[in-house]
Amino acid sequence: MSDNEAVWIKQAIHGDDRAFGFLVDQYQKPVYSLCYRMLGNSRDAEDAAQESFIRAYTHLFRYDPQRAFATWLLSIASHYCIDQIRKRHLPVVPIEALPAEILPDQRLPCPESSAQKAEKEHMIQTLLLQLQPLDRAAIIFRYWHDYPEVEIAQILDLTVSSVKSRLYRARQALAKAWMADEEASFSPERRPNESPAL
Amino acid sequence: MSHQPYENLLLSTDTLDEVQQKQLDLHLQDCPHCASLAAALAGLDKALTHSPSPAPLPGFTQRWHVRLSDIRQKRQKRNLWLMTLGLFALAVLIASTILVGNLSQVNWAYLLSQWVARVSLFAAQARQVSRFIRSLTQALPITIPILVLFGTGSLLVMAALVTIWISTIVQLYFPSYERENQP
Repeated sequence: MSDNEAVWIKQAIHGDDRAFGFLVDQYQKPVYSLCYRMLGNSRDAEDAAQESFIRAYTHLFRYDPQRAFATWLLSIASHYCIDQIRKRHLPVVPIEALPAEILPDQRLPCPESSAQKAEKEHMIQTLLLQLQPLDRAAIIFRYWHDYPEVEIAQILDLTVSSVKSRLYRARQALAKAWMADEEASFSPERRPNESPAL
Repeated sequence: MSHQPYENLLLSTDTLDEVQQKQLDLHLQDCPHCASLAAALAGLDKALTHSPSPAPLPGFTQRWHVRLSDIRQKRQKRNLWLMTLGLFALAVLIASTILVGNLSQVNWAYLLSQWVARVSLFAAQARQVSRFIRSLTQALPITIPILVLFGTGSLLVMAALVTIWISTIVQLYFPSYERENQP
């Protein structure tokens, strides 16, 4: 934890909104990224990220300075997202509901490559949304936040062995889906209204 | 062909030692199932680690400040409502305590006994009057109708005499009135 961060936390505990604003500035990207990966769309991700920061601020007196602030914050965000998924029974995102920000950007010089990126991004998100919320959170922390299993266990309030088994199960499911997707993309399929000669 | 323990080694996130890695490599050369799983996991790992983290739209912190002030306003309103409700409940509690205290000072048993006594007294008086009338009719069974007839007759005669006397006075003092009314 940086010195600035410790000062901001102290000031924020005493009700300084501006000091917590600096912390929001610093951690908005990892928190939003986690929420986006967990919930699958930008609207819910924005809402969840904002709410996570509000909860963190209102419960800042419970924060233990011995623990990393990022870990504590991401723990709040991940539990909030898991609650939201359980409450709303969020379904797997269909292709039609592709979020706007991962659609190919027309202003970019190479629309083909950006479309490929968007397709890949969509595939990853679809794979993630097939997992159970806790498995999904474990995968996100493992791959995007590069957290060791011990820290993931702390964040998700699980044992290390439980995290390991969840990662194992999630990787197995993702690998199966990946193989199925690759097989589907390589198999020749005639498009509707396409000439049979092709 | 058995895929264990190689499948477990592939899917586990633990780091493999040299012996395990060698055994796995040898197995992957012979087993297409595990080889395809290893390829899928490698592709997956690469895709996940290289996938960029989405960022929020600009102005996230400003939106957070706005949200925070909105929440505070809502909480203030809610607290105000709760305080009003609390005060109202307290007022109701105090009023009901006073009312119940005052009502408890009234001797309800005394009031009720008084009312019952009054009703009983009235009933006894009414009973005595009716008994007196009955005893009178029993004591004077024949004279009562004679007295009633005599009294009524006297009253009628008296009324006739008064009427004649009034008409005589009218004729005496207003003779023109009599002439005008004659045909």
